[in-house]
Amino acid sequence: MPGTVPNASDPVELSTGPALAVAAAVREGRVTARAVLEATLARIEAVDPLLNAFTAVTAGRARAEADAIDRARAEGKPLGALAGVPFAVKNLFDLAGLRTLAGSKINRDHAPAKRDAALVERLTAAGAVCVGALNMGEYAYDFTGENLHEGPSRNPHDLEHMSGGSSGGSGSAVGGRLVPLSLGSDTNGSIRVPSSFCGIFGLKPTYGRLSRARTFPFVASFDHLGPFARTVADLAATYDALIGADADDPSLAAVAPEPTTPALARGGEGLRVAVLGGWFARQGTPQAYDAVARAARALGAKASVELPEVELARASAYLVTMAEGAALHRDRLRERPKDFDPAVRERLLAGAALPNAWILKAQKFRRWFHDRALELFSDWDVLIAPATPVPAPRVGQTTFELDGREMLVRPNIGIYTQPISFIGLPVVAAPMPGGERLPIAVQLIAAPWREADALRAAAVLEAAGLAFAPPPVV
Amino acid sequence: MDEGRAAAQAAYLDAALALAGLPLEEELRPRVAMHFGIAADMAEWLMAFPLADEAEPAPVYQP
Repeated sequence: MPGTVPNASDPVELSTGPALAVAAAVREGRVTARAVLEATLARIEAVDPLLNAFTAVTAGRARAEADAIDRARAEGKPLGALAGVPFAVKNLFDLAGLRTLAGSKINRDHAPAKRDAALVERLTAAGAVCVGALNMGEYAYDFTGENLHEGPSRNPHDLEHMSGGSSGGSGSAVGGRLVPLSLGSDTNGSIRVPSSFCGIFGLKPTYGRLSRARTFPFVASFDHLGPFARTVADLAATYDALIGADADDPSLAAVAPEPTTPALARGGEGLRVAVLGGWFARQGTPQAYDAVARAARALGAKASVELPEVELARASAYLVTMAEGAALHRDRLRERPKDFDPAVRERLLAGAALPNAWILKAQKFRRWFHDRALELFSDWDVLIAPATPVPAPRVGQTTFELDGREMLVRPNIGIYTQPISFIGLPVVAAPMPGGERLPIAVQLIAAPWREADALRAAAVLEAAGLAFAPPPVV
Repeated sequence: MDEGRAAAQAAYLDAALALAGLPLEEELRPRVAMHFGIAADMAEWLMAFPLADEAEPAPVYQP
């Protein structure tokens, strides 16, 4: 069931509770940021050997940040919305003084980053405390959360199962209650898949919404960054701290962002909700469709609607990903071939040979598909779809059965997420535990720039007791 | 897949990777060919989809 309210004077209880409970307790002086941090670091030390979510714990930096928050409070200075809240980031975000691995062995040879990623700076400016860097699939070309060089990050609900990728550590750390917040990236599903497998909330904002400055890229056409949390209010507050113009990112859209937290109080009033049929109603397991059906009932979904040619959208995203990924890594494929995970390298090599006409057609099709989606949003505000066809497969599992057909796990975990990120729509992945041991999430998809609509829908499901982050086994 | 198409793809892949100077060990070659084949199948449907000559690609550079 949804989490209980932690004792605001108990740093140990707070450290596994919601982010906003920590910030309130720190602001009110019921606990120090340092005490919450020490409880967090102790839990990471005890539990992370099981989850393998972290690739670096930045205890020194975190202690300095927490002490600065406590000093600011003692001096009567105003504290940020996330004062004293521990967080960690996928290791493709620059953290000053650390090497930005992006899940690779090759980047271990890079110089340490000189400055934090823009979004890390935004969170620390809001008072959050950075406790480390998180495991991820190599160069983000992954849906499993497995990593040849670091070992797999593991599912907090069953350690023998995948965390989901490529932001596997980000999902595992939040689902395992090591931190209340994390950041990840989503090119084809890498925020929504770990959210589904680890049973947490994730937000993939509109393409161009959040600054990508000082993060390691994958596919410039589709790369998004975004937050993970265990409550909708935490997710909205984190997103609100992340928005804003940034001259360091030329891909940022010139559309003024709006904070989403004020909108949550409006509940589902006036939201026109439909379920995505067609492609999204095929190939999933009963658990995936049960989650969609429960969400649809709670949100008063009025219809089942279809996006046309979804299979081509997925194919186009697949091709552009292969080609842009291969172009990005071309020199490394030539000079350091043996230092790649072969499962990543074999796809990048195939991508290096794709004819240009295929990629240009995919980019033209992207515009066409985007226009069809906008037509749907003239009648609807939120579209519901499964996040993944299955709950987390076992670590190392290579095939699964979808609609009675044996399919490869790696490319097919993202069948429902890939067509949506292809056109950059904002999505909240909302975990919908239904009594099974492993959770699964639904996608709440909104029109471009309407993150607030997706978050409001998630808040309705949360208030109904349907969407929540179940307790981990660790 | 028919044998002619598979052979053409394999020859193309070898030539493209050689031209790019990208090394490929023999034991990995069938896996790379499989991924290329998946992409080629997807591209076949995509290329058959009718779009006007005037269709704009999605990412438009904004100076």
